Order: sequence, then C-alpha cells, then structure tokens
Amino acid sequence: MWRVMGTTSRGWWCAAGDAVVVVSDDEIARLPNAVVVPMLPPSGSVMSGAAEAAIGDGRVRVGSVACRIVRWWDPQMRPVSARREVVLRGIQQIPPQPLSRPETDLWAALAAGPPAVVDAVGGLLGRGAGLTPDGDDYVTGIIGGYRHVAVSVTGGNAAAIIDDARESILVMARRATNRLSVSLLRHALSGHVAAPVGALLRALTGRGEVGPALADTEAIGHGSGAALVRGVRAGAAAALGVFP
Amino acid sequence: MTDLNALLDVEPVVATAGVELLAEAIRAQGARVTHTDWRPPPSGTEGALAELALEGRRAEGNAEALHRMLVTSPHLVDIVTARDVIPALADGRLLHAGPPIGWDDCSGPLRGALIGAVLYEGMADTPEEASTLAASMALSPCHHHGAVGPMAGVVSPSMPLAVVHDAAGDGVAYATLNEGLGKVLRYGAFDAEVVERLRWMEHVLAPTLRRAIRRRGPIDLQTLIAQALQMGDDGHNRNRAATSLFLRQIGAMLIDDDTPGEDRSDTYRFIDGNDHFMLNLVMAAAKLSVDAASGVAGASLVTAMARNGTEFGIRLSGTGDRWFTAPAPVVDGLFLGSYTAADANPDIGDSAITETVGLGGFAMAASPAIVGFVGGSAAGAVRRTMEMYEITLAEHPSFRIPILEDRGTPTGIDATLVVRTGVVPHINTGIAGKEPGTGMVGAGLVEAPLECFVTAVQALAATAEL
Amino acid sequence: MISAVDVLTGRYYDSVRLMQVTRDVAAVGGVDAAMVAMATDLNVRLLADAGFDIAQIGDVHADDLMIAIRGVDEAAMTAARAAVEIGLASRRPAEYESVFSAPPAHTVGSAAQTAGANLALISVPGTHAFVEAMDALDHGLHVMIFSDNVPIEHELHLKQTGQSRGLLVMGPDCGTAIVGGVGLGFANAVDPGPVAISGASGTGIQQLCCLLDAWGVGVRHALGTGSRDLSAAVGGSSTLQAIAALDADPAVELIIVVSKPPDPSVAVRVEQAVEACRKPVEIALLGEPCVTLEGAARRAVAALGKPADDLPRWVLDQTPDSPGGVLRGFFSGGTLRDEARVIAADLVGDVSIDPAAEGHRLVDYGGEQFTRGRAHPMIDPSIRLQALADAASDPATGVMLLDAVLGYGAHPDPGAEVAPLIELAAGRGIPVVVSLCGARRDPQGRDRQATALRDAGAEVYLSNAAAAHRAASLLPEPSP
Repeated sequence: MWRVMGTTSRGWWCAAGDAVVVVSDDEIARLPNAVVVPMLPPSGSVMSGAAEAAIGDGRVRVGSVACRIVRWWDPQMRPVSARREVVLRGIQQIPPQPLSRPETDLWAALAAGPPAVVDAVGGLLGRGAGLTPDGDDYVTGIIGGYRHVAVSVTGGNAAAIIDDARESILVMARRATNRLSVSLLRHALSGHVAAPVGALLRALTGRGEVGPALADTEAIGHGSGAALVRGVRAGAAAALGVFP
Repeated sequence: MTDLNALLDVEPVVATAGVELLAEAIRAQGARVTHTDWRPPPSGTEGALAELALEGRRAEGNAEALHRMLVTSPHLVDIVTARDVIPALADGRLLHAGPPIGWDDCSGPLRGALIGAVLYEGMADTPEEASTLAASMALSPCHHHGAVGPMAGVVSPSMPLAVVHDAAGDGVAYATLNEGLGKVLRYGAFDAEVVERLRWMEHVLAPTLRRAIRRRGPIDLQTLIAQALQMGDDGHNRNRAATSLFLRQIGAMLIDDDTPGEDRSDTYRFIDGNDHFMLNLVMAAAKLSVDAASGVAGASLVTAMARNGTEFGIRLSGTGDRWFTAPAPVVDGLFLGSYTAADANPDIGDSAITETVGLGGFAMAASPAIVGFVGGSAAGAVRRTMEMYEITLAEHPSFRIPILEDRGTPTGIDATLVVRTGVVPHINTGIAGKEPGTGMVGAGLVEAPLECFVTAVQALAATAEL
Repeated sequence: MISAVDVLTGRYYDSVRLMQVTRDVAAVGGVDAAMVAMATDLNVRLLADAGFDIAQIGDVHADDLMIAIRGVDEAAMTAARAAVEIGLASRRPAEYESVFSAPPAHTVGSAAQTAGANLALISVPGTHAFVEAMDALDHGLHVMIFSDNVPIEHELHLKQTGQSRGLLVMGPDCGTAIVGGVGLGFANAVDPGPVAISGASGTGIQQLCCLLDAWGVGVRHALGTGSRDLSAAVGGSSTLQAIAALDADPAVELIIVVSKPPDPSVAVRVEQAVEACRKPVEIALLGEPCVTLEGAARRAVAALGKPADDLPRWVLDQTPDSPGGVLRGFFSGGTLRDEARVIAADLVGDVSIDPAAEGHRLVDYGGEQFTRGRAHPMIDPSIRLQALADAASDPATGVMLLDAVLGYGAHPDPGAEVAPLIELAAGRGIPVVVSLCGARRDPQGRDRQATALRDAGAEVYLSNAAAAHRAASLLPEPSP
C-alpha cells in the first residue's frame, strides 16, 4: 500500500515500506526513485501523511486525483573501463571542499573494512539540514562514487565492501533518518543514482565533461548538491586510495 | 569517446524548429525542449542560403573576420586637417555619409550640408551660388577614404579630423569633430551661425585639442567606451558619459598649457556643452575595427551599415568594397518641439557604424536612459539587445552590459542570420529635418531594411566555392 | 486659441522622457501644439520657432522645466495639463515588465547557446531544412531532420559533416527516434529498457517498439537514420555511426537494425559492422516475405531470454466474407506499407503502390508526393480519410487494410477519425483489417483505440505482418 508521505511545491513522495516514489513535474532533478507527471496537482488536493496512493500501469492515483506518468528512467550506473590517471584528472576538476570530521572518517573507513564503514555511516545519517539531511546526501554520494570508480578502475567485485555493509547500513538508516533518504541510500547501494550524479560519475571515468555535470549536481535540491559532490569526490578518492 | 556517446548517456535537451506539435509532444513527455520561432526566409533566398551553408570558407572566414575586428585597439592620437590626410579632397571633391550618391538624388539635409561646406570653404558667397557649385562637384562616400561622419557626414578640405590609430596594428580611421545639437551642418543647416561655428572649430577647437592630445598621448577609446556603457551610454544616441570621461582624460592638458586661456576655456565649455561630442570619436573607433575585418573570402560578417539620406547601404567582409542598398527607411521616434514625422528626412548618416561593432541599438540594455526613443520601456531595451544576439556571431569582449550580468554586447552581424531569421539590426539614431537648413527634428529607432541583406547574401553566395 | 507657457523650477527630467510627454500631450484632442522640455537655450529657441511667446517666461535656466501648450479652448488646456501630470508621474510598479524575459530563439544555433540544447529536431519545409540542420551541426548539436523533400546531395553533405565532427544526423525524412527515453517526432510511449534500435524507417522503429512493449521489453534508444540512409548514394553513413555508438553504450544489451529494402552493397557493409559488434544484433532488412518486423522483434526477445507469447489482436465474432474484388490498403507508415505489400504479394500476386492502380494496391499517404506543403497523415488524416471513403463505396474493393499509428506526435484519436468509414465499409460487406501500431502507455490508449476500431467493425492486429497476412487471406483465391 502506497501512502503519500510528503508534498512540496516541486513534487510529492509516496512510500510503501522501503520503496519510495517521488512524483514531480519536469523541474526536479532526475532522482533514481522519481517519475515525471505532466503537471503537479494543486498541493491542497494531495493530503500529506494520510492519503492512500495507487501507482502502476503508467499512472499515479491519489483519491480523486490521477496523473499519467510521462517519464521515468533507468538509474543504474554501468561500470566502464577507466584508467586510474583519467579518474585522478577528473577528481582534480572538482574543487575540494573541507570535509567534516565524520565525513573524513567515512572516507578513511572505506579503506578499513565493512565494520568501520557501518560505524562511520552511523556518524552521518540523519545529521544536518534539509529534506534529505546533508549527512545522508554525503553518504549517498560517497557510496555512488566509490562503487562506480572502484569497479570501473579495478573491475570485478572491487566494491564488495559496500555490498557487505549494505544490510547493516539500511537497518541503521531506517532508525536514523526519513524514508525518502533511506530510499535514496538504498538506490545508491544498488548503484542507482540521480541523473546529474550519473553524468558526473561517467565524466570522472572518462565519458563526458566534468564541468557541466558538476554544475548540474551542485544544483540538486536546496543544499543536497554540495554534500553529494563532496561525497562523490571523497568516494572516488577512496576507491583510488588517495586523500580527498 | 565521441560526442555521440555523450548524447546517448544523458537525457537530451532538444531545440525544435518547424512543426510546433512536435515540440509539444516532447514537452508532454516531461523532457526539456525549446521551440524556436523559426520563420521562412524571404522566398528566392533558399538557394543562396543553402550555398552559403555549403561554403566551406564561411565559418572560418567569419571567425577570421571577427577576430580581426575584435583585436583592434583604437586610440585617439591626433587632430589633423582633412586635406592633409585625404588626397581625394584636393581635386575639388566633397565626402558624404552612406553609400555613393549623386547631387540629383541627394536629400534635403545632405544638400544643405554640401551647400554649407562650400560656403565654409569660401568657394561661394551665397547659398544659391553654393548650391550651383555643389551640384557640379564630385562626391564620394567617407567610407571610401577611411572616414566616417554622422548624419550628412560632409567632409571638406579645411575641416579638422580626429585621427584614430590601431595600437594593435597599423589601421587608421578619421572622423569630423562634433558640432553640437540644434542648427548644425551635419543636419543640413548652413546659415551664418553654422559656418561661424565651423570656422571656430577649425581655428580654435582643433589646435587646442591637438595640443592637449599630443601632450596627453594616445587615448584608449575602446576602454573609454566600455566604461561609458557601464555608466548608461549606448555609444550612439547617448554619449553623455563618454564625453564626460573624455573631458577628464584631457582636462589637465587643457589647463596646463601656455596658449590663450580663453581658447582653452572655450574648448572645455564647447565639449562640456555637447553630450554628443564623443559620438564622432566612437564612430571612428568603430570604423577602424570593421575595416580590419573587411575582405575575408566567404565571410558574411557585416562591415558597414551607412545611410546617405536616400539609400541605406551595407557591406560584407566577403564582398569587400561592394555596397548593397535599399531605400533609406523613415525613423520612428520622438520629435523636438512641434516637429512631426512629416518634417523628417529618411534615415541618414554613417553613425550606424556603431551598431556594426555592438553599440547603439545593440547595446540598448546598457542604456535605460534612452529607451524612450522607441516609446518603450526598460524591458523593451533589454529585449532589443537580447534579440540582436540572434543575428550576431559573438559577444563583445570589452563592451559589457551590467544589467545582463556583464554579458558582452551582441557583436558581429552575420548577414545570413539576418536573412534566415528576418530579424534586422536595430539602430538608435537622430532624425534630420528634410528641408535643407532645418537641423535636427528628433531622434528614434530605425530598423535596417531586410532587402539589402538579401541582395548582399545573394552576391556573397555567387562567390561561394562549393 | 489659448497659449500658455508654465515654468517649474527644480524639476529635472531627462530629455527622452520629456519628448514622450510632449508627444502624449500633443495627441490630446484640441491641442494645437505642445512642448514639454528643459529650458536650455536650444529648447527656448525651438519654443519660439513653434510660435510661443517666450517673452512671457522671463529669465529661465537650463534646470527649469517648461510646459508650453496651445489649445483651442480651456477644456483642451485642462486635458493637456492632466496629460502632462500623468506623463511626468513615476511609472507604477504594475507597469514594470519582466526585464529579463528573453525573446524566443529564432535558430537552433541560438537555442543551443541559450538553452543548452544538444539535439535539434528540424521539421521546417524541406527546402529550408538543410540550412537549419547545418546550423545545428555548426553549433555542435546532433540533429534529427523530420522534414522530407531534402535534396540527396544536401543529405550527403550533412552526414559527412556530422561524421567528421562526431555528431549524428538522423534523417532527412526521419519520422521517429527515441533518445534516452525521449520520443522525437512520431514515437510511442515505451518503457526504458535494454534494447536499442537503429532504423532507416520511422514506422519500422515504431512497430518494433510496440511489439517489444507488448512483450514487456523496453527500449533505451531508437536512432532513426532517414529513409535513404541505406541507399547506394548515402552508403549507410548514419546507420554505421549509430551501430557503433549503440554497441559502445554500456546500458544497451541488444541492438536491432531495421531498414526499408537497402542497396545490396550497403547491406553488406552494415552486415560487416554488425559482425564487429560485441553485443547481440538482430537485423531486419526488409524486402523478402520471410523478413518481418514481428520476426525480428521475436528473435530479439528470445535472445534476451524472455517469453514472446502471442501478440494482441482484437477480432470480430464474425468477419464478413469478402465480396470479391481487390485489396485496397491505406497507410500512413511507409515501412508498414512496404512490409504489407511484400506479404500480400506473396499471397495474391502483384500489388501496386500507385494510388491510381486498378488492381491490388497499397498506398502510403505519408509519401513525399502527399506531404509537399501539408502535414503528415498521422497529424492531418484528411487525404487518407477521403481515400477510405472512396474505397468504401467502390464496388471493386474486396478487402480494406489500413494502419493506425498511435504515440506522441500522432493524431489524438485516430480511431474516432476512421471508425465511421470502417462502419461504412463493414455495412457494405467489405472486410476491414487494421494494423494498430501502438504501445500500452501511448497517450491515445492502445486498448481503447483497438476496442473502438473493432467495435466499428474492423479486425485489429498489433503486428503489421499479421494484419497484412490476414487481409490478403480474406480475398477469395485468385483464379489460376
């Protein structure tokens, strides 16, 4: 059973268990769990927190409001074959921003093993401001960055550390943060990312330009973009074993 | 890694031209699309436009011409006498604005100015004698002699000319000195007051200014104009800021001189009292820049727009010195005093040279103080400037518009873009009275006639190497 | 006549504003002359020239504002003074326009700069398409040219230029493409998925998309290449480019290459390119009865390891027997017509594509001779509707076959347009078969359209090959 969990002027989001679908008009960033409808219904017509929703068959229905879904996409990152130097050059094109202590800890933990990663993630989840707290955005970015770069440069199961920590991170996330964030984190753990983040990751591994993708990623949400970029940069650096 | 891979990795951002339904269909999918306001070009131009799209030299030629234009560095270096630098004046010839014209086709203000020049040179005593004499004299466009003049643009042998030199090359361009508003020669007035002022300019203004400039050293006009745009000038119809900046540049030199104090204070007062003093110098700077861009094979860049009061003419870089003309349009504007549109002469003057380098109508967004000339609003001025980006090849590296986040002004008109879009250059200009001797009757905005761009593009296409 | 010159000190306005006010005041009824200006020497003289008595204004300074009005009576003077006050008053905020509303881009080159576009869709009349497409390439955009009637030498130049710059030129005469899930031109609303298509055929792409959709297989890209791409003259330029790019896209799992009957030497080159691909490729180069779009789609689905069940069809309780006569076909899709022709010809002998032919004929109303100066029949069905009406009342008509193409860009309700004519034909005992090219999520509603067509009296098939086969089979056996 889907329920409407929240509305903003740019979209509303529905949840069924861990699964979340963001219903947006075409202005919002292409999140991995979003669908686009031609026009958002007036915010008053969708009751937050209570309304039951039906999603499927190309439609979203909430009470008497029904929208045709006109667009969704495949958010899966596919590893490419990339040389280490290419990624290093790419990372240098992302201006470094100072990392907080817990953020640095998570970067360090990615070299140490799954238990350390889970602990470090625990120090970030739910922390900070925003619909998706900054800490969550950083974690989402670092997981996306680490996965894609590790597998693209080293190949095989180079991102096994992420897979091993997956269930523990999710258990913790369900306690520490909201369902929208949990959903985005779950997608990141499976290699699903928002479209601008995907473009940034591809650019880091040699497909496309860093500059425009960086600008698009920074523009996500109110403050999410900056935390995502910090995370992506730290994740890519961790995958290469260099300091962010 | 090719661009094609990049296309397939991301959701496309689409630009559509043609059937609007197809843009709607993309929008209905929640995808990003811009529908362009495409209009068919004038019939009969399809072939020429296609040939120019095939012309391999066009893109490179335009890049080359644009580069030559933008690297020029016009500096005011001297004031000289016309006969000393323009040999053609020696054989009894007079120069005028716009494309070539004979006396029979001259409009009232141009005739008036020619009569005034003959009186000023002392070749006749009465307007009637002067008229007879002027009608028999050879005429030649200023543009053919490296010079430009506002409105009638008449240059006679004794007139002082400002010399603008290219500090980054060896180009040079000349312009007359601006007489001020009201009854002046460039608007076709020729009474005693007009001739008297011209003589004062020759005998007092020119030598005083010459000394000041020579002592001061070359004045960087490009920087001065760029600063003036930041202060609300458009570089064509509003030169109040530029004139003030100019006075600051030479003020000390005027004070610190050993010539009669009255000459120096009169010179200062004359320039201070004439908000348009800098117009002629801006025009010479523009002329210098576009001349550098002339004669690049295949280039569709516009290197001159000029009017002689009867015809409006343009030149393209790729067709060199050829003129392409159409009847000069009548200016839509506001009139001084009780003058009306019935008193207005068709468009006249070389001053549209400013628009060819991204000033005037192209820089209107920088000059909200003059938007009323089009009976419009500040928003309208911004829109006009924005529209000019549709027909230009570049944004000017120095001339910037504060309100558009310091975007460079639209610069380098591409004649093929004009024909393709039907968007014609907007020109800010003054309006001359059509009766000789009337002077200025108003100011306003005029649109360059599309016809001359059509014939120019067809002529350029005939030179295409396919 | 009343004349007055008022002088106000300490009120400065710029000359432009005052010229505007002057113009407004002069336009007031009963005003003979007006001038609102700062009292500069020049303006005072102009005032005198205009016949005002400047002696009455006394000593003025350039910082003073002069308001001179000459009117026929006191009422005119009052109205004029009111106009001055209004003109000099500050603009109300409500009159402010949005200063930064940019005018629309006029060229795709401009849109590339202002909107960041990376793909142009050109659908201007064919005589103008080349110039706009070159503009797109010159600004680094990939380009899809929907327009037809573009000279072949221009197509060649565009494709050579595109190739040299790593840009894809889809078309001219490219009706359909899907790029990154966005449908361009006539495109069906299909799910994102593992399949990519390169097609020198608009309705060929659409048919493949719809069949895959029926089997639950999504499409990531469908790159149209233009109806002439596999001709000897063009040499498969865009097709070869598209195949290589699709092969390099890590998200693509399987490629389908579809074309109208290609030039044999170009077909060989395409087959070589396919050989070199790392990914599985299905080829459907139409022209033989055994090569069908349905067949290619089935093989693709099987290669992905998914079941390909029976395709949807909407049949009647009882289809009338053909009264005898000839097959009449009415298509808006060229490839659907070509495929149907090959299949029908295999069963009934010669089938013409000439709209004036006496015998069996299948006509493509989207062909160039029908689209010069008018919209494609998928948008404007009027020509095809007239032809359908004529055939329904023609005693020579034995069976009618038509396509109905759904999707973005197409007519919002094609079923409702043709239903009355199907009823007319059915009422006269003529069997009608519809090849319905639609995906489940198409805005027109695939199943709703199918039901409406069936209710009007037609048999409806999702597979064009099946529809063609059925229509030809409904004719009585040809006499030997």
